[in-house]
Amino acid sequence: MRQGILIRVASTIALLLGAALVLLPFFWMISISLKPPDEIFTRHVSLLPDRIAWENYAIAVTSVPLGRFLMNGVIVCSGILFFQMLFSVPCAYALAQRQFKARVVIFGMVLAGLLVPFHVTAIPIFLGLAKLRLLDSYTALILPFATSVFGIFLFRQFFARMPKSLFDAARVDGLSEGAIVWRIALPLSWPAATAFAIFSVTAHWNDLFWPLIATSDPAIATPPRGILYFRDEEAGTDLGPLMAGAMIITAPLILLFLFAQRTFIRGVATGGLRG
Amino acid sequence: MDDYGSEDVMGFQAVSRRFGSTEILKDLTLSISDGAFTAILGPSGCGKSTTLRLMAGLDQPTEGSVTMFGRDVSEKRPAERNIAMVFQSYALYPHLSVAENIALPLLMRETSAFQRLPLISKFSTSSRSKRAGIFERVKAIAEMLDLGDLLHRKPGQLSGGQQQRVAVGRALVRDPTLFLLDEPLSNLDAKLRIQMRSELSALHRRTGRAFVYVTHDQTEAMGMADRILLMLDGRVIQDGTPRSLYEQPQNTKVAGFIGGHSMNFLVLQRGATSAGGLFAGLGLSCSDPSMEMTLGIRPEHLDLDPDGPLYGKVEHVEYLGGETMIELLLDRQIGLETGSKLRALVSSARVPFGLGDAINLGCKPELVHVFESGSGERIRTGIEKAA
Ligand SMILES: Nc1ncnc2c1ncn2[C@@H]1O[C@H](COP(=O)(O)OP(=O)(O)O)[C@@H](O)[C@H]1O
Ligand SMILES: [Mg+2]
Repeated sequence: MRQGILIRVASTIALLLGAALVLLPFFWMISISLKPPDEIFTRHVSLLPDRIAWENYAIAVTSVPLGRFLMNGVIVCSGILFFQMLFSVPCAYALAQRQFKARVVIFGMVLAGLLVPFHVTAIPIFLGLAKLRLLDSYTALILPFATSVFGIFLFRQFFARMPKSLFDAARVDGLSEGAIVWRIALPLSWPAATAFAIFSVTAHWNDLFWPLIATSDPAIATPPRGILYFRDEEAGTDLGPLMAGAMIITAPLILLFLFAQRTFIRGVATGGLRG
Repeated sequence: MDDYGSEDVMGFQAVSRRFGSTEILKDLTLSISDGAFTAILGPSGCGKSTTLRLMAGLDQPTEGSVTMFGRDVSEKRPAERNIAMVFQSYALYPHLSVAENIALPLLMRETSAFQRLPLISKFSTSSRSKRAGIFERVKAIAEMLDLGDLLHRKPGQLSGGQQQRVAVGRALVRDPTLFLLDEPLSNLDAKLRIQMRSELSALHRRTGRAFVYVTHDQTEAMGMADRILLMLDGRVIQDGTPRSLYEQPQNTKVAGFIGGHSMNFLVLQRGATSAGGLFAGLGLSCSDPSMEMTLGIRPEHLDLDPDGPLYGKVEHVEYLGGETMIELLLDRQIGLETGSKLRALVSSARVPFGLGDAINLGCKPELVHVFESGSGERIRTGIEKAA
């Protein structure tokens, strides 16, 4: 009994330490975003600012078009998510529930695709888009991510667990294969869809690598790309507004996660449909 | 053969189905008569579901052709064949309400893809009036099946019996030419199963449509069907009324499968047909004494008879209530292999004996089945049975 309590206390402390370690940079960001410039570079470390400098947020919103960057982020992320769902859900359904010759080979290619980092293919894609004169456009930001092998894989695993007779029943009821995908398979896998949407949106909302390569026009800069304009304009010293800007662009993601937390965890943990 | 109706809803011509190198259905030819209740009966794994999927159009034969009303339907999708299917697991759509589950086949058939688009379906008047019409029919079906109060529930909130009814409702609503049911009662408890049995029979009478009912349970098949196709190892080994399967089994496999208590088989030795032997004792005579034969006698057809030709010692007694099953080790006699055993079902009121007692059993000659020992086929000619 006592031993049980000790173990629980120890494990709770270990978990709290882990959580603190993970959250520290985040609190550091909040702290800096609220500090006046003279407090940021001091010798002693303090997490709480002496004076709360709200003006950092005012500077962040006014000195660069932050609203525009957020808008671009929404356009790019929803565009990417739309096409990823449009292509990976039917593809996953075919791989999971249809019989055809190249099925195993194609699934193997999907798995292999999971192992190839985007950085490897970035240069050929960049050259291709340059040839097509598509650089510096929303197309350049969305097109390379229009398909997602991760999405195909995630949905395939989900669909493969669904009972075959469900799809047979739908065929008997007169649904085409397309209708089965959108009316039966997808609605039954919304935990997976939520998880996938969160993975996809966070990855592309936070992505700096590709926007940096493919765009230079501030008018289509995504949030992380836009944040860089602080450095350009203020010679890299204005940390307070920079962190305030970072706060503003991460806030939507955190809100999104908090809203979808339950479904997200269900989608990742079980990937399962009630038997 | 029996007359089941004039037209065949569904026919198989020399159909075989292979998965890889294993042949599951072998050269299957069958026909399903319109309006009849046909059961496909067989042990699990014999290919019943595969047969049903071929009928539904969910699967294609490797060889042979599938016809409906004499026309080849190999190219036709399930919906075009206008069949309905009830699955063993019910296969209800978990995310749709009972009403939506039942309505889906009608919605797919009677509205255009355009009318089903998410926004159009809400605001287009033609789509809305069609939906209202469909919902009226769904409600009528639900009332008929006692589901009226459950229309807005999800399948997960229903009991097994209610889910079963929804599955039947979904099949019923589009007025199909052929109902296919794959072991529809096997997931229900015993009491509910018996109740649903009579409900399904009533449904068949009311709709007047052809039913194909797959089951491994012979009491279901015998009790409900007009006609039974008995399947074994991917072949139909006998096709007939429940009565003909019981009374005239074409071979030892059918004879062993059909019947509540498994049939006794007595392998006869050469010369068994001579006078004084068991064969003659049972009132049988045979024109070809060289034939090797096996006798089949059902336990329920044996009775205590002091002059009966089957005699031996009681080895085991099993009291079953109104009846008692006795197991007899038969004494040596002409034509009988030593160590032959016999199980007999006799009225419990007539059991004044115990283990080790010697008794005699008799059986009416017309209830003795005679099979060829080698092939197991029923011998139809050359056997005389005394009246
Ligand atoms: N898609 C398939 N691929 C390979 N084998 C199959 C497939 N479907 C059924 N079988 C095999 O065919 C045999 C008969 O199956 P089934 O028709 O379901 O039998 P039943 O319904 O009579 O129990 C089984 O041995 C099963 O393993
Ligand atoms: Mg089966």
